[in-house]
Amino acid sequence: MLAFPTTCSPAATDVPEGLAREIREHLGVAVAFYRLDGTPIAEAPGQGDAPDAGTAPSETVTRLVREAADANEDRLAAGPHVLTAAWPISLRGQPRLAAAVELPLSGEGEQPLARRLLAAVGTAVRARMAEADAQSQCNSLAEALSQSFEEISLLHNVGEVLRVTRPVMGLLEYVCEELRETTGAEAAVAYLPAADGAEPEMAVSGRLPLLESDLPRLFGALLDGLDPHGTVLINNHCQQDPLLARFSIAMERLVVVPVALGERAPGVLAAFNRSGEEFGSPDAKLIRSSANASAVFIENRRLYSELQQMMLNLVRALVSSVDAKDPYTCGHSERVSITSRTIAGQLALGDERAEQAYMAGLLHDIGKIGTPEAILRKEGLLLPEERRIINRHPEIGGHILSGIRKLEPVREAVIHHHERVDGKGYPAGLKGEAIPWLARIVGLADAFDAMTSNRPYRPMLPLDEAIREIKRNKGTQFDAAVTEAFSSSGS
Amino acid sequence: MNCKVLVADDDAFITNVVARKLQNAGLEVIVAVDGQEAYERAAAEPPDFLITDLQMPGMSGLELCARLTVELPNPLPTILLTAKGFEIDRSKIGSLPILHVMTKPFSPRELLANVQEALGIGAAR
Repeated sequence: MLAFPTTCSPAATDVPEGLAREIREHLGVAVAFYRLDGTPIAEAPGQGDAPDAGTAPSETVTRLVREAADANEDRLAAGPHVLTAAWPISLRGQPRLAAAVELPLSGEGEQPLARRLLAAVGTAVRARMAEADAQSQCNSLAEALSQSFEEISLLHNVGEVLRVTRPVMGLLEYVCEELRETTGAEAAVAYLPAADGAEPEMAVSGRLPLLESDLPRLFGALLDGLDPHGTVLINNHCQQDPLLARFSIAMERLVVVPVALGERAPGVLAAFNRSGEEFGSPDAKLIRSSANASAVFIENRRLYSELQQMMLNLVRALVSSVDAKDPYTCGHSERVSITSRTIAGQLALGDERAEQAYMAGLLHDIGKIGTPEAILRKEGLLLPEERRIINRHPEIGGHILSGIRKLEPVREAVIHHHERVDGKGYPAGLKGEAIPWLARIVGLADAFDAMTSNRPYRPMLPLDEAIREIKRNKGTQFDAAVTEAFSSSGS
Repeated sequence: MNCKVLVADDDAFITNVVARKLQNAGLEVIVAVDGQEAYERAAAEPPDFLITDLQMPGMSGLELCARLTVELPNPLPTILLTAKGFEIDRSKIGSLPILHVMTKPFSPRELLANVQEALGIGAAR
């Protein structure tokens, strides 16, 4: 079961089609071909018109062929009415087959000429066999090269498709499709077992010889206790294996390659059934390479999403430390982040920017960490000096977030979320388009949430009134497009 | 019905692989080892399809395609093969009947599919 079959091509004893006829027509001599043990080689279809087709070789011929083969030397037997010649034929340095001729003679006097004729025939046969063998070698090289091209281009394409931002299943479906086409298998499957509460995932290309729902059990049974890094299973006679035959009577051949996935249980890349050639190590190698590439991708993707989650958690921790200082803003950052993301979605800015809007919403007040609690918690109106201090929070936030390349757009939004499109905001007094787009979104979301929350200096506004207030300030405090997106989002 | 494909490449590996793939699919294949030979063969007997390497000694694949486009009565649908890293300037293709530019190492299967699609022959896969 575990063995790699050594699929070695059988000895090239194919006699090129039409060779016997060609020699008969050109040289008037009937050549026949024999294996080294003296048995005749059945002629290929289309050569049945040879005169001696079907007739058993004479004893002399059989004896001569064997002698010639054993000694690896030409043999000639001269009788009174027949001249018999046998030539062993070597291809690529190995004796492979023999050719023999019985040439009838009408008299002894023909012998010298007949001998010369047979020598010429022998040379011609050898030359044509060598040529045919070279051609067939060339063909199989071209075939192998063609397969290598397919494999290289498969691996190349898989490499191209590997982008961390792509979903895993999209990649695996692609890999299955390509593998099936490249190997000529009837079906290819990628399977990822359940992990961390996630559902198992499966991609299938082609027609499976067994129920899809049986695959996890099949792979489980096959891979139980095997090393996911070094094992490849090839079976070209599944029906002879009671374990496999139980799964399906239609399953003939399979290649199963585990996909090692870090700490996770290994996944599987597999190919099923192929008419013609058995599965062999080239197939296994190709599937293994695809599996390795996919595994790296899946692992990277997992690390990437873990990293993103970790970053989000860190940001939340940071934000909650601000919320803890200022009881009035409890939950404010989370609400602003959700509203910001909704507006970005409404503006159809793409997933990445929507996530930036979410992050900017979470972090917009982070600078309040640097604002004295006495001011944040103060009831009633703020003195001008206190107002000045609190208005520094966008810039303090900017300082806190500086040096984090990935958060650069978020940092800009944090610095400018109190700007107004009429230029009367702070800290820079930027106008209109000069205000970063993200800051315009977060600015509106922030103002809206402030209006709809209780603040020490005023009670909350009802929702519809707050929306009216936002619309009233469109073009002065708020960006027109952002206001439109906000009011059409139905929040 | 017997479609004739002219394959021009100075690399025997490529012509061998391509010719076999096409022949196995029942297409007639003529092989030329450079642009000049391809041009002469196409001029003597116009094929139905041209697969040519871009970089060949003497006449390049683009030049070959351009000449045949001018001189043959009908546009000759063409697939251009190029060595990896040798990106082709799209503007040079202009109005030439180049259907695909395939980068080596290409997939012979995909190449065949492209030829069959262009010739309107059922893919025998």
